[in-house]
Amino acid sequence: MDIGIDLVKIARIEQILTDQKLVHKFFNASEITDNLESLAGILAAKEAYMKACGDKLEWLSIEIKKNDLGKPYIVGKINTRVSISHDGDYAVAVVLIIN
Amino acid sequence: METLTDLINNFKDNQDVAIVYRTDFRTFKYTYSEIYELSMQMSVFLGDKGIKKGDRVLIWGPNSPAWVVSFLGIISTGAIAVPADMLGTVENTGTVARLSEAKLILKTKYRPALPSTVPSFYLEDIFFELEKIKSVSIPITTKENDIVELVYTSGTTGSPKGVALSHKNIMANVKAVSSVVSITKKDTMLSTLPLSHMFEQTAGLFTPLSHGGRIVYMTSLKSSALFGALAKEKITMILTVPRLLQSMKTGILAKVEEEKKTNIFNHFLSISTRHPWLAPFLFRSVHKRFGSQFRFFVSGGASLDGDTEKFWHTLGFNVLVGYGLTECAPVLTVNPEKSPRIGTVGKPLSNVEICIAEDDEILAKGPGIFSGYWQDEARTQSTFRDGWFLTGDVGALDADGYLSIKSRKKDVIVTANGVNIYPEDIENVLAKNKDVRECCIISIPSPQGEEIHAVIVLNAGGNAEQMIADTNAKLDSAQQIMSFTLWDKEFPRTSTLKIKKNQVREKILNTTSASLDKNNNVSENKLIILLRRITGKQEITPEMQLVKDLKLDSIGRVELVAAIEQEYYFDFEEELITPKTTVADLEHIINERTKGTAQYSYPRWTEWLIVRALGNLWLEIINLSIWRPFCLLKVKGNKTLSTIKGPVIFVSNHISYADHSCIVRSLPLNFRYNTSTPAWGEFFFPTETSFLHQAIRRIFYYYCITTLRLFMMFEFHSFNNGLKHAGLLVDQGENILIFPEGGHTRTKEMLPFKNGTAILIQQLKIPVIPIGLSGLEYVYPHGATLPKPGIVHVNFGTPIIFKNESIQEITERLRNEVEKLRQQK
Repeated sequence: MDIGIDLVKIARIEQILTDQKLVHKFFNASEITDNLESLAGILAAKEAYMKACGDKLEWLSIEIKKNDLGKPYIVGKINTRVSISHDGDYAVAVVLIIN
Repeated sequence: METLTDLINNFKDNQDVAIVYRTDFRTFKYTYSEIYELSMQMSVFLGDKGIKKGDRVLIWGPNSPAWVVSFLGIISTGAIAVPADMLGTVENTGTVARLSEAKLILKTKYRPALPSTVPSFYLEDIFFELEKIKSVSIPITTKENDIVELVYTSGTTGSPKGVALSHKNIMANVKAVSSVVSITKKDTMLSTLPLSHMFEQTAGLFTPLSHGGRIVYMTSLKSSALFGALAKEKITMILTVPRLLQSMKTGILAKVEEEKKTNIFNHFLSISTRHPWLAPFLFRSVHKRFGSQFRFFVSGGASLDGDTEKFWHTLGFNVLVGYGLTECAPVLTVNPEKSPRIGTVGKPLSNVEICIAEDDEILAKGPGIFSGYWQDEARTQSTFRDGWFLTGDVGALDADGYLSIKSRKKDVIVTANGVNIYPEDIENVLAKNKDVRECCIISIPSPQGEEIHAVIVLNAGGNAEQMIADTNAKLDSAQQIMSFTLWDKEFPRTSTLKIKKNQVREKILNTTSASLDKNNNVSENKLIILLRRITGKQEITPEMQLVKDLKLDSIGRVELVAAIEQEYYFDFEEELITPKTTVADLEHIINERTKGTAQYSYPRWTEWLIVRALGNLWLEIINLSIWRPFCLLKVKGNKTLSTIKGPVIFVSNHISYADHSCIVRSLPLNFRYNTSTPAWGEFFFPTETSFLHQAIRRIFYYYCITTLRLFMMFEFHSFNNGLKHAGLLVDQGENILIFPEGGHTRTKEMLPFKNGTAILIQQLKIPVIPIGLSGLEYVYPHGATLPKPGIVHVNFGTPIIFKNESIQEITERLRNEVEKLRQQK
């Protein structure tokens, strides 16, 4: 079992969002929204997943989606669990990989 | 044509190209009739959303066909468009939405959501929405005094003013501009300014469209994109603001200096001043980049300094300088193409009257001038005197009627990409700092054009560097303070106590540059500024490591790469930044890149007709025939290909070296000779191997690109270049055949599909046809020395059109489709 955590400042996402090219380096088309908190959460989850894997991965190779109940998951990685939260200026995510 | 709806109606049967849209990888073209159809679908879409005549619809996004179609759709329903600056802040744009009481917001995904309950749609998804609309309407009848749009023209201070422009205002300006600047259907305009500005709209959109010309929009303003467009699209005119002309001038001079040709260049400049007709010969290399068809630049939005204007004229380029204001829809004067006068803003348009008031203020009258600010009678009244519009600028008319501007009351700074920066916005943020007693923001010239400069009177003990850094952190990227001067006395002021910025500016420019640059110029090193902005660290020295010392995290790394690409105008791979990279290393890499180190370039001779003909002959006689005795083909599903208008992407599983031959043999003739295949570039260009090995691979490379139509895609370096080349091939009508496994299948299971294929599909936006191959694992499996005869099944699937799917979804779907097809016998 491996675990990863990451914290992202929401203001940073606003800066990223002004640059279309930069947005496409971090987010898949299906993840792009203009909701800054949601984007910050997705980015934190991707980084947390990389930390759990202990490896630098392509940002676009990790895709975060939400199920019907609004719970986030990583597409194609059934052995992972994701939890995202945000408050004030920050979004935080924890990823657990179950072996 | 009296109204814009008349103009739109004229598009209906015109099959010429109206808009060219160049993305990083593709070039999309839209004819006038397509723009008409889409605009009519847009008006149905708006009607479905409850938009009626007179309702306001906000558009917030970058220039694109979707922007134009949205705007024309709004006009066609009789609604009023409210274009907002792409780089405007959420607060500003939110205020504009509130003041205009917008009922619908059409916005880009690349700006944050507005704090508003008004329904909103993404411009990037508009064309997908329009595809669902089958019925089309016709534009409603409009009257010339009906309002077309509200353009808001102020910063965050006070309430922005909504300039209400009517059909008459805009069409009058279009007609008058056309009578001075001749535009025909042969002209192609390159757009470099935002469509939210009236200069770009009237002179850059409606004027060319009313003459059947074409307009080129780009998703990037990097110089590589700019020169790419100049090389491919036969641009005849560029509408721009002074900063772009200044930064291109700086670029040319830097190149001249780098090539140590300054003396000869200056000599040529002096010859050209005396004999202007020699300019195209003396400066042939510059003219070559713009193409022989290039006619002129039109410069507006801010004053162009005399040196820059003279520089371009001496180089043999016509720069037509004009003058106008949003309230005038917007052009008032322009230099005639045949008789421009340097240092002036030209003559009044045919339907514009200009007079100079007693206090030298420029007053204007004419059908292009707006009727008033939206719901603001008091402001409207204070802007007119006896029927004359008060421009707020000071100027003089010479004996021949040419106008020159002496000063502008509204000291707006216009950035290279045409964004208006209101000094008062920055002053308000700066003044909140407790160390600031007084401050003002001015623009000063820099090698890149005008830059934002702060002049500050400090309280005792204040730290200026820290204060500028804190202020910049609160400002938009376009508003960043690039340098500052400490002022040690009171500012000079007018009788109404306003700071006399002209005097401040003059004084600063006259101060010895050494004392300014040495102590206070925070823009002395672009890279340091970028690093400060991204890492938040102020103390940066060359030996510092990016990761360890500057705490550059993985997000910061991508941000830095994007910022470097934007600032230095070249592609930069993230892999170049390792945990050990220091600031000095990074600077070294950038310097090397700036010099243009050798990069793989795609050979052009492979497209020569004779090479293609011989290559195809060889393909047919040798490459395909060699496998014929061994591969008995059973093909299914290729009949549907005859109904498809290319280009398409074929995606197949990869079993052996005979795959390519079997698939190409299965293709109908119209696909067979124009299908290219990406190949793993690193295979053909190995680096750590013997000279002989490299030479053999190089010979094989030439063979493959000539006879098999392979093109290189490098996995580790310049993947983007490969994507761009694929885009170019598709634009030329070429189909692409990909094996996404990246290697031969060695067991019964296919290998995982590489992400590169999905990225390519996302970017190229053309139909994808999956192919399932089987039988070759018996005929010629991986590792076999000789083939055996046998049946090979080539099964074509139905075309798939991907829209907004993610890389994962595309990869997964394709893998499933190919898997199903390869199982069919």
